[in-house]
Amino acid sequence: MEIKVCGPGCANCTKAESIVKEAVADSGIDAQILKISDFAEMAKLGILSTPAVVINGQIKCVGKVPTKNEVLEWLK
Amino acid sequence: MKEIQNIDCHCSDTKDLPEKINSRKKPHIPYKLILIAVGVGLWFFIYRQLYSFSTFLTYDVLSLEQGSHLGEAVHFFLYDTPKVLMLLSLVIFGVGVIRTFFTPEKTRKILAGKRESIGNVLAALLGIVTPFCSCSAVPLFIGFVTAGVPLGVTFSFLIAAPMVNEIALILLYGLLGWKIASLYLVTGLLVAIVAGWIIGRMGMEKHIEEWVREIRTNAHEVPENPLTWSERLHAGKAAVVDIVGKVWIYVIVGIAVGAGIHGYVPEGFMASIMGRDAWWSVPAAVVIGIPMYSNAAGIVPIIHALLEKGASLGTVLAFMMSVIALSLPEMVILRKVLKPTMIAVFVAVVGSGILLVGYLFNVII
Repeated sequence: MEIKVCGPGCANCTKAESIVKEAVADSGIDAQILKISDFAEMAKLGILSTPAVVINGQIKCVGKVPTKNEVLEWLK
Repeated sequence: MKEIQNIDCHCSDTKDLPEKINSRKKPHIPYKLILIAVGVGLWFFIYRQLYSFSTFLTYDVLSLEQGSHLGEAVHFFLYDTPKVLMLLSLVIFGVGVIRTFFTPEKTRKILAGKRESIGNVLAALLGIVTPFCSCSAVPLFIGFVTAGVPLGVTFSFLIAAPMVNEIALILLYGLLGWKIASLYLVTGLLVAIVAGWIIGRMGMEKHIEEWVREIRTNAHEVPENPLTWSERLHAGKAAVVDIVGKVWIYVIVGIAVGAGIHGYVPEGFMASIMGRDAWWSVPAAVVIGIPMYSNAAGIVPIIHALLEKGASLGTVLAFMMSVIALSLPEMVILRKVLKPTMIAVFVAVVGSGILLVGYLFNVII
């Protein structure tokens, strides 16, 4: 499983990344977490607002910090 | 009669299963609505007591002398702080709920392929309600432009979104009244619409960085996630915690500075520097505003105090617009996708719009 957390590095983006990391650790799933801070890459993924979470190429959330439960739901 | 009633009851009882699940879920909503109604009622009750309470606190509890510099400053602070924070909480909750109906993706879908003039107007209006944070300015810019939203229309959005926002409007309303708040709303939108339109007319597309122009995105890939009302209300609450949690310190510092000006700066002092007769004060206000970075929450209490001391409305509004709409940090971020010429044009066009607003108000009011 490949998880991309997109954000230029503001407070919310950092928060989103740590929540995703926590959720992955809790679920015990073997997933690769990538932090995307390159705007060109984000645009190619189709992301308009940050922070955004993309799992296996599918946009799961944009423009908000997800809750840990939401992330756990996506990991299933 | 009884029979019929029974039949009715019976009917509604034998609805199929999904309905039943729904009806089991529903009671949460009225319960929440009652809670909100009670909360709003309580809010209005407390809000109405603030003035007398702050007077009591300043002159009776702290026994400061009425009319003294310190007394005036403390009263200003004790009255304005809870008032502004209460107004902010209520409005941010409302706007937080409204914003769940708008996303940048939907806004882009609406704006893609729109004609320029109508597009500029729509973009500025959508700028008010679309959730937007300045660190998203770049991906949003790329997403809009590469999906066929005209450049000028994109700029109308990017100018309106930070400048005409609920925080600015509610603070202006709370501290300076609805007339000034509406003036700000209308002129802010006009600056965004006209500046965007002019930038669109100038054919600046070649001043976007090359790598951006090579990207192609599709405006119709909107990730749908329908929300329940319960989730929307929750989003409103989350917005209050998030935004008030972030801006309260700006509000308090802003009001403290405002209170100092209110209590200690002599009447009419600002008239000579920021008054109507000082023609150079409007451009000076715009130029000083550019490197200053503050959000509306911190700037409004200060301009409130400046106005009281004789600064003219046009100059003060120009200052506020410049501080919020033309910020150096945002230009640094936009430099990643725009060439320097384009940034310069952006500043020049928006700056001129703000200048015009400033002079206009100084002349008519």
